[in-house]
Amino acid sequence: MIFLRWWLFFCLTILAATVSYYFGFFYELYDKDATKLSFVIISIYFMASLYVGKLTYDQRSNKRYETGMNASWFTSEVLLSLGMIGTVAGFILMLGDSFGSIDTANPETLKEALSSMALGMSTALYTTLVWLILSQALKIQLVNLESGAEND
Amino acid sequence: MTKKNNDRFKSTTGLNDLLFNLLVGFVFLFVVAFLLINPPTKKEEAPKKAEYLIIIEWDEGINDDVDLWGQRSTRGNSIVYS
Repeated sequence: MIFLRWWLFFCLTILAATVSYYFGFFYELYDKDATKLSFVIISIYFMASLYVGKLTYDQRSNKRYETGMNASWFTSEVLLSLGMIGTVAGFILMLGDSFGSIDTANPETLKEALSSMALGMSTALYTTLVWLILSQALKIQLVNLESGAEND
Repeated sequence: MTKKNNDRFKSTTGLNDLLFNLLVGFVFLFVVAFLLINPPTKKEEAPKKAEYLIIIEWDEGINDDVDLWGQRSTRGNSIVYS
């Protein structure tokens, strides 16, 4: 039963990813996230999600269930930390190179500086958005797995 | 859910991240406001009283002397700019 719940959730995740791709979310993510950390987070999430699925499928026979659970919880924290790293990297991008070439009398340099700052800001916000969604999605799968283990 | 497992939900990294994002937003707004405090002033241009503006341009490397001659049709006086 818990494996079916996991399967349903996984299929919904795939559906959400497909809809996002259809609406061009990934292209926008590629453009706006200068560090590309969002794609690292997405990759880790899918690998961890498949691993949780494997744990859910054979939890009774799996001797390394407890270790796997701890590793999966740790992975959800890693997603979160990667999001934090993306935020800090975006902050550095925003403040790093933006001000060197500013000439207050020239609107073009102001425009360039602002667009450079906007890229850093979008990097920070997009990585946060991605880890917020995916970390919660992974935790939902883990809570499902734990609830099944307690019922047994 | 055991008590040990509840500790897993006590991570504050997420809150720190969101607070950091707030900071990023405020810094962005501050910088934008700071840049707009002193808008670039336009240099005052001298009023142009001329009704006709004749411009002659030439390449920098040419050896010829380029002059501009003008003549009014009514009086016939010539003006030269060289």
